Amino acid sequence: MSLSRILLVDDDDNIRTIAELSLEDDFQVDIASSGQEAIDIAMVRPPDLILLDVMMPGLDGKATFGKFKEIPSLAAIPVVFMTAKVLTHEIDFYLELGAAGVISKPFDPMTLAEEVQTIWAHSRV
Amino acid sequence: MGSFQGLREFVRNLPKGKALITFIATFIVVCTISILCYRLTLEVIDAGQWVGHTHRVLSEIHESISAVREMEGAQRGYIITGVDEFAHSYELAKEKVRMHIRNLKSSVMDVTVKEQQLPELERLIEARIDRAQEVLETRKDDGFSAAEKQIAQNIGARMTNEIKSTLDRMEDHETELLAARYEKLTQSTEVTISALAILGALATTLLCLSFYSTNLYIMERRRSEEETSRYAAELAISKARLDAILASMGDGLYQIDIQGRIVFINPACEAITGYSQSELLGRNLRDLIADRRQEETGSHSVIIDPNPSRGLFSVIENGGTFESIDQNFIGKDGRLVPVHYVSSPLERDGVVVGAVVTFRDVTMRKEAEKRVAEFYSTVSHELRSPLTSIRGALGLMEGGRAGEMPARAMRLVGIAKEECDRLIRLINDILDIRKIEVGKLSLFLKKEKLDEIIAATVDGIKPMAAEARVKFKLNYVDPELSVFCDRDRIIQVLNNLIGNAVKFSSEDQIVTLSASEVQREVEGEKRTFARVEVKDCGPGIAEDERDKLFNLFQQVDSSDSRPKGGTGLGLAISKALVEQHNGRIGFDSIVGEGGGSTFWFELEVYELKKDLKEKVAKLAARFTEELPERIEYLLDCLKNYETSCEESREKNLDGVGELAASKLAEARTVAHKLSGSAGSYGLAEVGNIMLSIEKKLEALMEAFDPRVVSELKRDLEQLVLVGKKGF
Repeated sequence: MSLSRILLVDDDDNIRTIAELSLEDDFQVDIASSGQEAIDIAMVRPPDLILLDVMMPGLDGKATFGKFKEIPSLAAIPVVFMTAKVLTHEIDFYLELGAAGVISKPFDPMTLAEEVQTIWAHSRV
Repeated sequence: MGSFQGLREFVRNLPKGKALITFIATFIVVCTISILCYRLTLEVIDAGQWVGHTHRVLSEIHESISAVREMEGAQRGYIITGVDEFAHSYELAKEKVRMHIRNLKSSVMDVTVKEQQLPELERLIEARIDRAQEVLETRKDDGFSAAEKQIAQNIGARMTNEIKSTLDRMEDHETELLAARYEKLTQSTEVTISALAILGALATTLLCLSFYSTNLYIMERRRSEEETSRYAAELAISKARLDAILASMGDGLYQIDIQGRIVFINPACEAITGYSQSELLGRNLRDLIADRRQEETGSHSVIIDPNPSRGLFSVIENGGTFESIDQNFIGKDGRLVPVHYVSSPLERDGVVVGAVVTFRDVTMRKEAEKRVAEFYSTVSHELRSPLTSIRGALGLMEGGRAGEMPARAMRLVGIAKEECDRLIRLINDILDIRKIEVGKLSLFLKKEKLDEIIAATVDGIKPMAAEARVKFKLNYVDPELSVFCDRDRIIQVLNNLIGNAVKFSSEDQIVTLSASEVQREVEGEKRTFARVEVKDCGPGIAEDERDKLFNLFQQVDSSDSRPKGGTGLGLAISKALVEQHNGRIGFDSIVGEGGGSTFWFELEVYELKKDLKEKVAKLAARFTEELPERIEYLLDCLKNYETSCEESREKNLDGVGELAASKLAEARTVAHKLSGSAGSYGLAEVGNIMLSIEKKLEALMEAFDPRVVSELKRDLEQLVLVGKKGF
């Protein structure tokens, strides 16, 4: 099984567009602008991986992550957090929480797809 | 009871000091004089009585002699005349003689007279009476001639002479006694008069002294009373001033006794808490400190402290002062008042009798801090988001995702991307400075190998160096050289220093990196430090620039460096970070082409000295003993938490959820304590596990997640394993 469908969750339109542009050559990308929308989309079309922004109004990244883990059909999907906080102990915190990986913002759009692919491969091991 | 009180009052008001001593001395002397006078007077009276007595004895002796003569006269009269009247007179005189002899016997006290002379006299008298009786009988029966013959024998006359001479001897003896007793009387009288004169003078002197002392005492007392009333007046003024200060001070004030009961409050306290004085006095302050407080990091999570008042009350036992900036007092109607308070022990005569707690309502400040924190958080997020987009868009354009672009446009995109990166660094630096300034930059210390840190930094900075065509020379770094540090932060420092070195190097110049051990004396103790040096061959730093190099927004020769992409914060941040590691940072520089600068920082080497090793081993042993108990406690808390959460979910009970939260808070306190002590014992593995447990507990407090609970249990199992290994 290869990584083909990614659900991208970010409240910022422009970031969503940049990330989508970065990823669309390699994957099918679904877009959600909030945690709740992400859950709704994932219920209909379960992705192979979720790229989840941490700071969002309403359901933030951590809460959305919690919700995903509570839904049995979605609990196994690897989640990659995207955060501006890049200190090791903060990354460790998300990893310990059960995230598959953490991508720091601002990300390099030219290597994002590669980075996501690597994380996904690691999460399969 | 009243008279007892009166007596106490009297005793209390007695003169004190010299006056009292003089009074007592006078009293003793007067008493002595009185006793002496009494005794001397008794002696005089005694001597007088003895003189009188001797006179009486002498008188009796004279009376006795007269009576004997009278008896002889009557006897003679009867013998010559034969008239019965003389016989009768004789009888009367005879009885008189006997009476006087009896009187003498009763009054004479002298032993010689009493035992020898008096019996002899009595015998002689009786013999004389018998003889006279005999002659009188002869006259009566045989007539004058016969009686004359008997008289002619001269027996009676001899007897009378003997009686007289006996009485004369007695008289002589008594006269001698009288003379002696007169002399004694005279002496006693003289002594008494002299003694009375001397003692009288002494008593008068002492009375004068006593009067003087009493007078002095009264004056002193009057002065002291005047002083006391002056002090009382001053005290009243001072008290009034103090009352006015307490009444008008803006900060609230609680005075508590040793048990924590409130004994005094000021009006500000009433205003802040909403309670009236009568509602607060006598209540225990422990009941007025809330167990909920905001987390210090400015986030919105709440910590439940199972014993919120321990800090405040610690001053009663341990002295010193205790200050808290993040606790809440409970106001009227259960309202929580965020306060900044200082608790200080209250001492009286060197004994702690309670504490004084001054506090300030910091609601406004907390709100302002919250707004500032939110502002920074928002700014950070709001700035990063567009930057992420801009950086991403530029990256995509540069990568050709937006189609083919002319070379000039590509150059402009390159410039925009570079500046964008600089802006991102600036935002990161500003946020770091903010954290440093408010003291909220936390270090996550671990044992780190310095060669790995240097290698990681160099790897990250290589593209920049390659772009600037600057070469790196990495001197040998001992792979065993380790420091106890926050890896990210030390990499950040190194990045700044190497970045600066690259920026100020020309093409093909070399930046040299080295790390070595240095020894330095700190507080009289020789310690080993790891010294990391970044040497460039740049132009060096001018003398007048050196002092301000580590200041905020400071750039050397800004006209030159701005194009190199500095934020002006790097060195200030590096200095703060190194100093927070208890390290030192500095530089040596030679001005001039090729002179170059060497920036360095020193961190204490992570090594266990022999005695320290023993200490750690001992502490680790204690830790091993404590650990199973603590793990059991943590598991217990977790179990309670799980149960409470399930119950609150099923029954939708808020209270149960709160109970769960408080259990978790207790567990977190224990975990925090353990991770802290593990860190200070150098038990990194245990410390890390405990840190992870702490974080998971924190996550659990925000949202119940069974997965986290099971992970926590795994952590605890791991802890047991580590404990069994004996670290």
